[in-house]
Amino acid sequence: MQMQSTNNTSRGLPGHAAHSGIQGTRQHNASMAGACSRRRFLCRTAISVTAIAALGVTPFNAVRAAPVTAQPADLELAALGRWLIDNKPELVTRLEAIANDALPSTLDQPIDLPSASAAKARLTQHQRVADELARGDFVFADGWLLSHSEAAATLLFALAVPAPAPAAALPANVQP
Amino acid sequence: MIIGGANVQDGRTFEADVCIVGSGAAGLTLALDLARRGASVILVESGGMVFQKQSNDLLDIELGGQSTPALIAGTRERFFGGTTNHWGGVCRTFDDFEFEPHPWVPNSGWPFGLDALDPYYTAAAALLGLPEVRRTYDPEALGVADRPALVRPTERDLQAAIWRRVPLERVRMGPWRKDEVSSNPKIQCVVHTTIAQIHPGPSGEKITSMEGRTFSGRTLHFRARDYVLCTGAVENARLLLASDAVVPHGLGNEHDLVGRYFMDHPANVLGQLLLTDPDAPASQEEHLAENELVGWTTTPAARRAHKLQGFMSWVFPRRPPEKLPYELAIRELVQPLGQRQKPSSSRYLNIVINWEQSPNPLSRVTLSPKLDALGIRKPHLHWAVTAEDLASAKKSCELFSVAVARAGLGRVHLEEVAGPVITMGGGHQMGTTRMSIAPKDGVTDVNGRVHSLDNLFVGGSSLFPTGGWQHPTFSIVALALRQADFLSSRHR
Repeated sequence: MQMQSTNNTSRGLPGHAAHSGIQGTRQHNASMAGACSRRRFLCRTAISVTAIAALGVTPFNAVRAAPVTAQPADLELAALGRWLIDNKPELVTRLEAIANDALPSTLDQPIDLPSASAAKARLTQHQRVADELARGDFVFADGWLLSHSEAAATLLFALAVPAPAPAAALPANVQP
Repeated sequence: MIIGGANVQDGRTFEADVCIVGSGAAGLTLALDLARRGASVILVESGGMVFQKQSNDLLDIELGGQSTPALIAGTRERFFGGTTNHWGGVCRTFDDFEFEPHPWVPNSGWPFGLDALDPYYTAAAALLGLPEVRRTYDPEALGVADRPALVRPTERDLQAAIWRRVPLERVRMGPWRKDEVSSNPKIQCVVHTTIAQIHPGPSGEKITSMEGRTFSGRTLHFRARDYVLCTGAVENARLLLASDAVVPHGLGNEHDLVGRYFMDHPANVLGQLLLTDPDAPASQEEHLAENELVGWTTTPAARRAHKLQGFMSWVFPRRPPEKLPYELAIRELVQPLGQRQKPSSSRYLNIVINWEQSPNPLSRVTLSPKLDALGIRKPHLHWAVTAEDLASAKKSCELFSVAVARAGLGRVHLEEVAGPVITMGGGHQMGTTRMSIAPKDGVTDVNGRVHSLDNLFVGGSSLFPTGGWQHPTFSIVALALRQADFLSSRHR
């Protein structure tokens, strides 16, 4: 069964991480280099929330207004992103900066699936990944080795795809 | 001549130049080579010519520490041919590196280098029918140079390895060498007889006899100029410890080292290697794995850099799970945009690992107060793997994962995220009578002679001071041939 997502996110980073992972690192790294781009990154999520509130549109309405179908692979990418946020909080700031750089500079709107997919294409270019693996810039995410850029791509999907409700329809062998 | 101990007159004494206990890879090789060189030999085997439950039950062992039944169950055989009765026939020499002491591994290193064993590896290869002593992973020679490799040859941390298998007719040494033993006038092979006690003279410096028992209630005696225990790492220690009538705490145990440093090659499923292009032609390693044992090991450079123990991984033909966690996500990340693969097109390889355990004095065989059916104290195994061993195995798995990702043909899913857990042993029990230069560091000297006894020797993998990552049987055979060389010089 395919799931649908909103074309923008109304909750920022989904689930537990929205409150502990990102916000925690945001305060901690406020003075660090790269904080500006990260702020912009987070800003997009905030803009989406504001826009939805201003228009009086609920997430449900948003789905109806502009549905974008999330493929099972998108859901898994998002779930992997959430795994990273929950389990590797020390890396999130760095991954955010990488993800932010892959987004179009003119795009001042919430992260949606098309923009996440476009950024993923940039982030997962073979040479880029190979260079990161050679440098040792990688992380193990629930048993899988990901280059930092690949990991950053999963973070974008975590933003673009809302977290499933408890016991929602992720494949049985994927840890929520 | 092969003699059934159960039918021999009670109290009979057998005599020869050398008495060897155990007819496995070490004992059979040693007996036949000594006989070839002119020494008379008694070969005592606890079991018969084929498997019998009554004999095999004598291997019963109490488990402690990290020991589990899976570690030990089915790993040893007590009948003619010993544990070669289930040997896989996989051969590889130890490398130079395995003989060296490694500063990051306490108690590591052998009392001699590869050069001391190398001539005997050559002899062992000839004996076992191997076409060469060492086999290197050479894509040209293996006929796979036109295929991509799962791990690049330029990889600094990991290298491909290929093992050699003994021809099928020589893997089971019992059936293979039975006729040689039975027709050799220099050999008296006494089966169905279990050595229960080794008797030293009053001074405790020389063995004067061994006492054997049978299920039929007979007691047999064995006298020789030299005695060699070749019963495996657990049983060699058990026999030395149980022979404490004259020497307190057991023979050769003056420094409380008999039974210590028990090692194995713990085995795990590392995980699955997901091939990111399921339609691509088989890689070198996949292609070879159809008929060969092929895999990967960490390089000496990686082991030095990361302070690692040995590690070997290989493709294991096991049905993989239908779908791996996050598999679709991984396919999305490693495939070019727009080329989504359907799950039905997945292709995986199961990867299994064995890893080296450091020589740990707390990992040991002792005696239980319980007795077996012949009245001999049972062994107790406290198998202890260190945190450093586990960390080394985990790091090695990660290096493997990185090397595969770098080559670009696949990604590995590590099954145990927190690192390997001990699920089973490799059936490679080693180290309980380790060789050493100084008596305070080991039980036996460089020839396998018990330091404190003039004529008691030990053979087999219990001599290994460090386990390496290689399968041990080829080295056991080489050591036996080396020991035959030495012992025969004492009987000229």
